[in-house]
Amino acid sequence: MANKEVITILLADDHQVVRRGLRALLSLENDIAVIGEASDGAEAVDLYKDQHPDVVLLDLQMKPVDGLTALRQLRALDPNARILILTSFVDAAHVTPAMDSGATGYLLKTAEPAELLAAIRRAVDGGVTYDPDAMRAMMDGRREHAKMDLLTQRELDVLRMIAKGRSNQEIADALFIGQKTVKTHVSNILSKLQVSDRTQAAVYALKNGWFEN
Amino acid sequence: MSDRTPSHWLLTSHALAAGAGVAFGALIVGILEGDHLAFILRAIGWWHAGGAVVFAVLFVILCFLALLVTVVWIAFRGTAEFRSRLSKLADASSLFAAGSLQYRIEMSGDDDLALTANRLNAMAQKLQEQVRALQDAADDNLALRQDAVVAATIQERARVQRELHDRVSQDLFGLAMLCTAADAQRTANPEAALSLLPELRELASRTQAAMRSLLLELRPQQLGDRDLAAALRTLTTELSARTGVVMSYEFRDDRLDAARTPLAQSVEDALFLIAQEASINALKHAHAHAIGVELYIESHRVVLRIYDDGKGMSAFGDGDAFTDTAMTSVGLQSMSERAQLLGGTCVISNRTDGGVQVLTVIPIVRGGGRVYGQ
Repeated sequence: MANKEVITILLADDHQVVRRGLRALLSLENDIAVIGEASDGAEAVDLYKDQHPDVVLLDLQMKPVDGLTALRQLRALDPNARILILTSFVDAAHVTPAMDSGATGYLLKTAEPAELLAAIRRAVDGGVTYDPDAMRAMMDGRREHAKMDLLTQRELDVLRMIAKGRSNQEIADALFIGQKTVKTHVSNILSKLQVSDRTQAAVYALKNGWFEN
Repeated sequence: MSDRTPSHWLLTSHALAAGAGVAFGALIVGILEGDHLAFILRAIGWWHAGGAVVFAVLFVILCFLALLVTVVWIAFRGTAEFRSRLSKLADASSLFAAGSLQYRIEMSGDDDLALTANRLNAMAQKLQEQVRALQDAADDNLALRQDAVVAATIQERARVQRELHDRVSQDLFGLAMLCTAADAQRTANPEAALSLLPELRELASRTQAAMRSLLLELRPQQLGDRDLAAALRTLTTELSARTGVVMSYEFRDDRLDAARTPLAQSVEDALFLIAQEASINALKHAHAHAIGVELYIESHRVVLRIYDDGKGMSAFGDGDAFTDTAMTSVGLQSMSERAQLLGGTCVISNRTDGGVQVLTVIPIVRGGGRVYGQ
């Protein structure tokens, strides 16, 4: 690393305190320089276009434009962008889409400073760093996600509407099918997902991030 | 006076007037001179010399004055009575508005005022019955309300979790990073390390405030099996211990011993929740140094008052940690709704000497299921 030039960093987090802490920490490293701070996804993308940092430290939950959206835009903008997700969320619904969208790493805000520094340096060298807990959550999510393949497209449509809180009648009207057919779909969904009622089915689907997109 | 067609009436009245006039003249002259023989003669002379005209003018003026005095006296008496009866109505309507629905106006007569009084009485009676029905219904809905409490608790827990995630864990992460930075510079650059200390301290106290606020959110207190007076005492003691803010509590039962029936369960529940909500609002948003809670039970109403010495209502929602304006106003609204559901009122206002007062008045229409004041 010593023979490399300074690693430039863009911080994207809506919490000023977090940016302040990260900046203080990173400023101590001779080979790392924070060249920009963004408080939401849109700002992060703008700054990236301007400054082409080596690594982006990206929070997921930001407003108005969230981290996942920014991650996708950045990857589309620059397929080689090195983006480390730094978040406090460790559930499949957050981890899986971030990994799928090409994050270079997934770190939690409980990480030790040394781990964070190591992840930044590793990213520059082309390596990835995934927090073990996040990995486990993603694998569990994938396993649950496999159940999605058991459902037919129609059953998925019905489940999507159940998750939105629609009644059988509303679902029937929206999908142009009879209420009786909806009931059949619902009972198939329940048995395939091995849950006892429609609320549990909705919770299950949402918890596993089935309808994120 | 013409003599051309002197009627019988005219003659008689003239004679009477002349007699009275002479007597009057005699009286005046006699009083003035004291000579009885002479004064009769002189009176007759006076009468003929034009005294009749003077007497007639004086007589008319006297009659007019007497009439005027009588009219004024009658009018004044009438007005005073009218006003006192009207103020009875006004007093009664203030009492009704203040929740004293048991009051009845006593007014005799059969005019419009008496009619109005009867109608007001009937209205109060009806209101009293409705309040009773409301409170009965509230008790009947106990199970429903408990379900709602469970749902609200779950919702609240989710919110606290979210707040922990969104705020506290972020602050702690920043804090940890800053500490690491300070620690790393300890030997190489002690001045830089020291310069981080004020920031660290500020951040730590901010996080602490946020945590305290969240702890308050967790609503640890339930009325449970205690009576309201005891539950409020525990609430104030506990909140005070947790926040360091002075909280005073005063309880008074103004009813006669024999009349100390327990309050309805629904009334106790509502008052407890209002006291809790108002205290927590004051602790979270008002920057108060002292908060007072007063519970007064009167013969026909319960009065609950929570007041603080903080920065007042307009300041709610300004730059406070964890301030959620929508949440705050929902809280205020729910206090008012709880009181209204029991036929009472809950008024939130700024105090003239600063701070906020939440005044709740609920009519007592019947007892509940708990022995009170033990």
